Amino acid sequence: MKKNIKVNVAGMLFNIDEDAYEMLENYLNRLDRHFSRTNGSKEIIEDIERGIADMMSNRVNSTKTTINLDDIQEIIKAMGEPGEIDDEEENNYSHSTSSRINAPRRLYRDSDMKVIAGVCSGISKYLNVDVAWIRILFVVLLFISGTGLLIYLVLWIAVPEAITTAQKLEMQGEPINIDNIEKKIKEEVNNLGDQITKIKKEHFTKKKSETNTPRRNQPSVLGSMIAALVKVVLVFFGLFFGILALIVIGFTIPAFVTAGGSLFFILGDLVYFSIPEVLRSITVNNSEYHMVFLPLIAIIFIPLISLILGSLGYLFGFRSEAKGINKALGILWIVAVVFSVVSFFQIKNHFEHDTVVKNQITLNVNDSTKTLYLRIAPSLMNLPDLDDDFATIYDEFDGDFMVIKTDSTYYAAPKFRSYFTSDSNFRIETVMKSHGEKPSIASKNVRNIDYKIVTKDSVIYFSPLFSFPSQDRFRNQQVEIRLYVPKNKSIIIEENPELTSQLYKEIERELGYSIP
Amino acid sequence: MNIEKTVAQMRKGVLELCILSILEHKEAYASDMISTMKDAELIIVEGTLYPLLTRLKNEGLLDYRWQESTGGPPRKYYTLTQLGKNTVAELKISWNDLVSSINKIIIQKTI
Repeated sequence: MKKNIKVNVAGMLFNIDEDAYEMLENYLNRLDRHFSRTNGSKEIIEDIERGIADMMSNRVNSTKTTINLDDIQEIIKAMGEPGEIDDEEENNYSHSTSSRINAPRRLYRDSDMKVIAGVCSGISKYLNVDVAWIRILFVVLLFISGTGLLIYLVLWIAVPEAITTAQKLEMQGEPINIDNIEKKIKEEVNNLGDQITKIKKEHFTKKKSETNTPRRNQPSVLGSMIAALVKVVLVFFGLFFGILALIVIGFTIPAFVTAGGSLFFILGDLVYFSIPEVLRSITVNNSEYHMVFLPLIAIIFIPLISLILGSLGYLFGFRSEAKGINKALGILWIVAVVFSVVSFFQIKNHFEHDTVVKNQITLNVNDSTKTLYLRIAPSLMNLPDLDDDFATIYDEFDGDFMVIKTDSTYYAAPKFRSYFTSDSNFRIETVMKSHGEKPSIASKNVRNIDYKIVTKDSVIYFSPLFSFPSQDRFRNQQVEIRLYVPKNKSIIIEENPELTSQLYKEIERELGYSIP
Repeated sequence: MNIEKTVAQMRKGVLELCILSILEHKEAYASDMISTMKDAELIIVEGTLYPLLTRLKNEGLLDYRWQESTGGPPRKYYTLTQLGKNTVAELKISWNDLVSSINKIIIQKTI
């Protein structure tokens, strides 16, 4: 059942549905206000009213006696909104913005700028803050055990959507006067106006099912709910991966910084290996270095940036631009992969051959010596001052990979191994290894390894580190010390109280572990 | 460039000439003029016409008489005044001049 109203338009009586009447009255009021400052406004309004009455009279006949909402909507559409009607020069709106601050402001959801439901954009309008900050805030809150999601859902339910122009102006805090309404209407003539009309239409046609208005093909409520849900999931996935990528980038960037000392360094609780340092230690010249370094940066960062871009594009509505950029990045990535493969084989070539050189250390001990004393003695070689970080790195990798760099020299820790032997005497052997692109280079690299062991009766002094010149590059130079211990004799590690460096203490301990 | 806006402004300028030309040969009421101009795709919303008619009438170019209609409200039938007739003649000359000079420019440019 619907309430009917008798209305007099330009001297003619019409039966009109209540909702249709409200819409018509609203429209005429808008016109009234719009033309209030135009010459002959009364006459214009009367003419328009007569025009409306004319159209209305064409829409009623002996079977259809009532004007409904559809009729009024179509009439208004044909007649035009006040902004479209005006034949004068467009009004100057600049004066209306000044009074903005004083206007009352209300919180609405802004569906024009929405990603999910317009909560963030509504808040941004309310607070007059860029929407990006609000969204970032919600994302941050999301990661505090999902608080953001809860707040968002509550606001989604609690905060009304700004549908009418008046509400939209209230949302932005613009005074609700005719100029601003007009301006707003003009803005939304193309998109939103149509949409709202559609929604209303659907809403109203459902309500008055007794009239035989043709049903429109509108998406079902369930369908749009599922679509919204899918969108929510997509947005959160986008956010998740975007933030993940951001975190990965944050943690990866230090690896691309020159450590200035070691191929590895410590930041926070993490051991990084410095990619520039490692590459410098491996590659022979600048061009080879860049051939590896630049593609490597591209390979690692392009997918991450692309993820972030995609996720931002989704959040802030520049998806198509993001797609374009990502396509270009994809091509760049493939090029980088090709370069990397080429330079990988080039690098691999540097390690093609290896040389092993064994040396026996002459011991000034005789058969009667039952015990050999081992000491770590940094003073044997000219070693750099090392901070405690190297001890951690050394520990982390069990003595492998730790290469320290000074101006023209690399330092690394030797490995200690001990074996039982059936011989009657102690025996100490050093094994030095290196790789190189040719056998001659590999053996040259071995020759250039500097390591000192000094024997003094039954005490053997070991340098904690060995060194090799940086111009040789890192070719996996290694020093292994093999201790051969007769069955009935023993080795004792003499702790050196003069060791100040944590690293050397660590190496001393490692030496201890190697003793059976 | 906002093509839509530019086109709208072009139309705006010639609307008066169109109204006056329509009324040159026969009197008409708003709906007549609207359908003529809609056919020529000169008008998008009907409302545009009413302020224009009022303005032309107030400037003394138009006059109108009331006529009862069957089933609808009374209609304002507009006619040209003498001033209106002179104006439309002048406007037509200006229009033809305008068209030919603009065509000159456009055609020159395209060759």
